[in-house]
Amino acid sequence: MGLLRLDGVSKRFRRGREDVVALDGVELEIDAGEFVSLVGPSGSGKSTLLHLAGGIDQPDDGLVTFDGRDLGRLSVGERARLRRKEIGFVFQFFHLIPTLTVAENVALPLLLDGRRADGAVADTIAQVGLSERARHLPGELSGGEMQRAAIARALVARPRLLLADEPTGNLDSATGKEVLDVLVTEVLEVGAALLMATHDERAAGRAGRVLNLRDGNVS
Amino acid sequence: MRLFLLLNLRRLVRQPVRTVLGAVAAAAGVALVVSVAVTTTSVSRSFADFASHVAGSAPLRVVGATSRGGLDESVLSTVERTPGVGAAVPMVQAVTLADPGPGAPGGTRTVTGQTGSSVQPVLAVGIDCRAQPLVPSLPCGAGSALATGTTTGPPTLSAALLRRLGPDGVLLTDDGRLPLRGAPVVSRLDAVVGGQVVVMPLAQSQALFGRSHRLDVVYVVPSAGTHVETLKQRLSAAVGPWNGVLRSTDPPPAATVVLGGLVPLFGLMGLFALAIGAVLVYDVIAISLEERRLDLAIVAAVGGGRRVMTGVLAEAGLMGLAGGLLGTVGGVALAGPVTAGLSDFTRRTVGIAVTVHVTPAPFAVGAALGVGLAVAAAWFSARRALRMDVAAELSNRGLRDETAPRVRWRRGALCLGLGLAGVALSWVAGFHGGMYTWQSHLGSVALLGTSTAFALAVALAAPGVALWVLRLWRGRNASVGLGLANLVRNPGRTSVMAVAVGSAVAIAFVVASFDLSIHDAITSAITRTRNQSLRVSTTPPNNALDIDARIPPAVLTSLRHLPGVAGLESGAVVGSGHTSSGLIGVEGQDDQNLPFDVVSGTKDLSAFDRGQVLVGVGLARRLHLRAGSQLALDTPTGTVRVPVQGVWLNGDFAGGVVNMPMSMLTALYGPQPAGEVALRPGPGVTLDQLAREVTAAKLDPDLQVQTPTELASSVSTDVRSQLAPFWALQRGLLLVAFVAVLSTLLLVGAQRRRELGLLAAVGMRPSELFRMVMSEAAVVAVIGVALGALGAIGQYEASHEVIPIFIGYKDPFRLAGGTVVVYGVLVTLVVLIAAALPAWRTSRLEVAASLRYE
Repeated sequence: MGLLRLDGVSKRFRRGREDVVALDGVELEIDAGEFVSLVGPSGSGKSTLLHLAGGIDQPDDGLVTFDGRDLGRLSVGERARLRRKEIGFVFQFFHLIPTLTVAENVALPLLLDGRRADGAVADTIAQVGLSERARHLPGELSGGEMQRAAIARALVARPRLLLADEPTGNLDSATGKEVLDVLVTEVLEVGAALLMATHDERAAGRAGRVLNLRDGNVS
Repeated sequence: MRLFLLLNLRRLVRQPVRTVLGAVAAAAGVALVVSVAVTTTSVSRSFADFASHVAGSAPLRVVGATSRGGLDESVLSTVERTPGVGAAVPMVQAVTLADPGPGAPGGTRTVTGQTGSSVQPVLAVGIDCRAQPLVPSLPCGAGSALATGTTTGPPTLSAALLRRLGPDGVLLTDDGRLPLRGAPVVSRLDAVVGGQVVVMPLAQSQALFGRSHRLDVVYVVPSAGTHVETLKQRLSAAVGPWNGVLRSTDPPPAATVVLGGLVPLFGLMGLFALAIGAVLVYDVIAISLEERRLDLAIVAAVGGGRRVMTGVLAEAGLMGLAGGLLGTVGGVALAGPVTAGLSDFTRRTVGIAVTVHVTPAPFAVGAALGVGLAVAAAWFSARRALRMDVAAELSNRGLRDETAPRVRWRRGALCLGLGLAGVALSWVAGFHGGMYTWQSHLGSVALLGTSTAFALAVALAAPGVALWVLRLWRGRNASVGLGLANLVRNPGRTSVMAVAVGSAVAIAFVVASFDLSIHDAITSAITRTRNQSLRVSTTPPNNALDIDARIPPAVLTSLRHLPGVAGLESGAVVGSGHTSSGLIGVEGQDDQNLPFDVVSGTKDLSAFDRGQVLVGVGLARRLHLRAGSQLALDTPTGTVRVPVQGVWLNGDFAGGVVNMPMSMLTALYGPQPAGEVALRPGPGVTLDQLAREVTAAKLDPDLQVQTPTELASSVSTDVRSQLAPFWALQRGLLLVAFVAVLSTLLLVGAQRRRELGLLAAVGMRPSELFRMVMSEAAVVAVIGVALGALGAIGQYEASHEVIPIFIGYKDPFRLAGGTVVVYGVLVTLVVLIAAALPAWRTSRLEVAASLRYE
């Protein structure tokens, strides 16, 4: 059984008076340590799929399981615990807390888990090459630095699965490549599985497997 | 803890304006409640301090049926014979006035109502050597004044009083002026009622203050091994039910009556202030959370869980703690003038000043109240934050639906209907003066319900009015139109600001209307009932029941024989009862005037002269009296039953009054020195002529003469001064309006940062952005003033019906329309000043920075 499974997962959103189908009966399986890219045009439901996979959102139909556990049966608190310990997130728009320094943003999952942060945080920041920017606020960083900080935050708790939603979408091509290199390297380092949503074909090509998301379904 | 420091405390520190606003909002709610608590404590402590100085080691005191000379001397032997009594100390405690002599220092306190007079209240204590168990150092050697019981010579003064009065001060008594030159001075007396005390032999005090064979109090020292409660019960049985056995530290009933009337009102105002504080804190926190929805979503996404909510509540708690402590300081400050007003009353009634006593307890209470208020206000916002759609926020699908939200006309109409129903209930409550107990309960509910319903109606109607104004405005100035549109699409914010503005105007309108009404009622009543006579007295016209500085008998005789005087009528008032709930004002009168309307029974003059009394509505309600009932009155010699012929609208003693012929009062309570008399002029003599004649006769330096107009003005001024706490509340509400508008516009500006950047990007000038925010504020001020004034009419009518149940007098319906204009302009100015900072910040926003995603 795969680390992450989506069985017949559907998700709809209400827009005014209409229902928009974001995902329609998606079937997906990712094994431990696997690197999978999810490609599709804007609005194809990539972010929605990642949110479902990470327990941030709930499907309307179907089943999402992580390591054999049905995320739908977990409480809000249990899902949050999962995201602190076993699932990391990297977002397109970085989503760093603007009032926290780089070190404090990276430490957040550990602090939320009630753990001491110092050693792991320093190491992870060093691994992404941000040691000299550790005490800076997000507003003082470049786009690439912010995304590296976000990667560090996602990896500090040594998760088993990392979900990356267009991690280079907001970066220029050179910075994007650089960030992607860091992401892939560090994910391999911790031995996590990586599911990366992207519309960049070149970025997608670095994965071991590429899935296409179109009209709410994966092929 | 570290998480709280990073996510919540840091935000509080980095946004000091918001934090301060939240704390001030909590403080506004806490301050009034704390001031009530401090005032109540101060009264208790002040009386306890008095008791400790005067009663010494005596834990109990026996008091009589009346506050003035209510104990027959024979009670003393009864007390002494009661098993367990170690010592019985008789005492006279008369409240009188002292006049400083020439050369006395300035700044002397005056008795309210005596314009231009420099007299000050003084407690005159009469004791003899039986007081030695309380004051071992009493000079009771052979030949001493206390030992011989002399009735002449100056009393003993405190050093402080000598300084205030000067060496040529005089003490006013019922037998004339008593010079104080050469009076012995005891510095230890400075600790008793702030030094406003004189001590004289018991017999002298009885002679000077009309207490022939009467006492005011007997302090009781138990014998060794006697349990105080047991002794209390024995004494109660021995002295009879018409006398009372109290703890020495219990406040006198006359003083607690006022507190009993004020505390519920202040408590109600305190609840109102708490509610407003809660709404403002909710506002601050809700908008603060609104601004950081993305941050909260991020924390949730990386595994925050319930910590999101607990962090928010802890943040609110911290803000509330600061606000609670700040509010406590404000409450202590507010208690100052309130206590001073109460003290003025207690000094005149029982000779005891009330000073502010602050213990650590109010700080603990204030802190707890602030925390509780803020956490409760933040609860719903925190729960909403916990339940937010994290995915939507992260994907930017969480943007507010910017279409105009439904204006809640139906709810507004429902609240208006409830308010009008409350007014109808208030009519039922006030019917016939509120003679039945259920009417007083209904009145309280109606008043509270009406105020709440009208406030909600204002809140719900304000966005709708803004929408209506917007529709009229369309096509004109764009920045003003945008400001109006902002009011419409944020109905909650608009409601908060409108209610804050409306409350300030409404309270001003209601208080000013009552002010006008009271003035008209007093003027009308006095000129109607006393338009044919002059008031001549040595004491103030209002709240002078127990002041023993009455017209000396010789002066009365001289007045009667003045040319131009056709007749002289006197009256007397006695306070009967030794508990605040049992206090009855007994009014005796010579004249044939029965001025008040009857709500039950009759007011037949011949029946009145035969001893069939009239009772006030408050008394009728308390004791279930009707025409034909028997009223049990405690007198110094026992309980007497008198027949009641009717219930009428005399509001003295909050309606707890009984009126009887003067001869009947004298028979029941003994001869009473005249505190005031009514002089009727002879044929062809005008009141002004007679007044000049009395003044020219120089019968007594303390004699005051007042025409009906002068009397009305004096009484009206005194009574209306008691509205001062409500005006203080109104000023507080102006501050609340300021805070509400400032906090709301600041925080909404932060919320709409991107939108404002977009407006600037498409060409809106800084001055137009400024005008947009200012026009929002101006429009909400005008809406708040208009709706607040309309709601205030309903609130005033409900108050007009219900408040007489508690204070006894029903004054005519008057609307102080000019107040709406004056305070409407004032509160609008306050709102515009409050909006200036948010408007300025909006006009100076950095376009590029505000358009960035994060």
